[in-house]
Amino acid sequence: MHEVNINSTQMKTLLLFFATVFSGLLAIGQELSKDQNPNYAASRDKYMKLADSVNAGQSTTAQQTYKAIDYLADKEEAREARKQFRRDLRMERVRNNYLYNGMGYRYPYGNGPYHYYGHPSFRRFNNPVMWGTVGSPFFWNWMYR
Amino acid sequence: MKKLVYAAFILVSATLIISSCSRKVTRIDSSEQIDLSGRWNNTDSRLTAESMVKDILSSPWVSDHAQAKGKKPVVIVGMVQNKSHEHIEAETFVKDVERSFISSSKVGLVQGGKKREEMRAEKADQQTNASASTMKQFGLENGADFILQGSINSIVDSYKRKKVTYYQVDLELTNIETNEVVWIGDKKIAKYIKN
Repeated sequence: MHEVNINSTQMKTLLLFFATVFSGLLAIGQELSKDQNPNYAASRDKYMKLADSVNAGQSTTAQQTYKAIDYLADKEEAREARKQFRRDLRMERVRNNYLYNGMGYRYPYGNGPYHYYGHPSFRRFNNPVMWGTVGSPFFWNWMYR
Repeated sequence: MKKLVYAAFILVSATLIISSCSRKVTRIDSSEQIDLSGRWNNTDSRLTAESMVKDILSSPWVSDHAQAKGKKPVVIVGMVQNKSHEHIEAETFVKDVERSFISSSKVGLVQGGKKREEMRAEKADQQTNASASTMKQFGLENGADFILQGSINSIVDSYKRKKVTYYQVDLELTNIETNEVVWIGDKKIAKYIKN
């Protein structure tokens, strides 16, 4: 008969291995409820880590709003954007300290609407934003008549 | 005499001008229906709350749980997702549902989210600052049986100056252990707005 020699260190390792396996099996057997999935621990461990961040939203409203297609609201928004653009343009002119009349520089030369910079080729009448303000040809026509 | 008439005239005019320009605020009943813009307002919130409260307490989930477990169900309020086109705060009507749980004494309620964090922080503070007899212990909180979650959706149909806005508020109650949805309440509100 073949003899197996086990020294004390190997014996200890073996005993520790069996003790771990048996205690693990015992623990699983004790924790599992009736019909409980034996792999429940995988999910539990995953959500134990996530719980704090996920539960922070409890008793709150997550705002995931969308922009509805609304004819009047869109019209109002476009009007506001135009107003804002004009406001920005005015501010920019003040910042750059020059009077833009829609045709180029006017002051301080004072040579009438057909000054070099007021030459028709320099006109910006094709910019609809400027119409109704100093960019309008009607304004300058009225100004110099 | 003439000067006196002028002075009186100026005084009356000034009073009229000042009074007509000043802001006027009047307290109204919170249940009064006043629609200004057509957007979600307090009336919508109140109608939603009334509908939900009426439905949630009369549904069989309460008695079913009491029968199965021998005690009243405990609920925690989860998150409500606002997927509509407007900013809507669900707390205005969810609080009414919570209040109905407590006042009916049929359903228990436990704190969640930020308030629970604060409560635990206070408990932690007590561990070092409160007297031993008044110190509250960790690990003795009531575990919730159900979680209340919800969503708000909307549909907007507009053509020129006419608009129909439809809101649907859904609240649902789910058994935390079994993941079974035991109650769904909904409130549908449709508005026709003509500008």
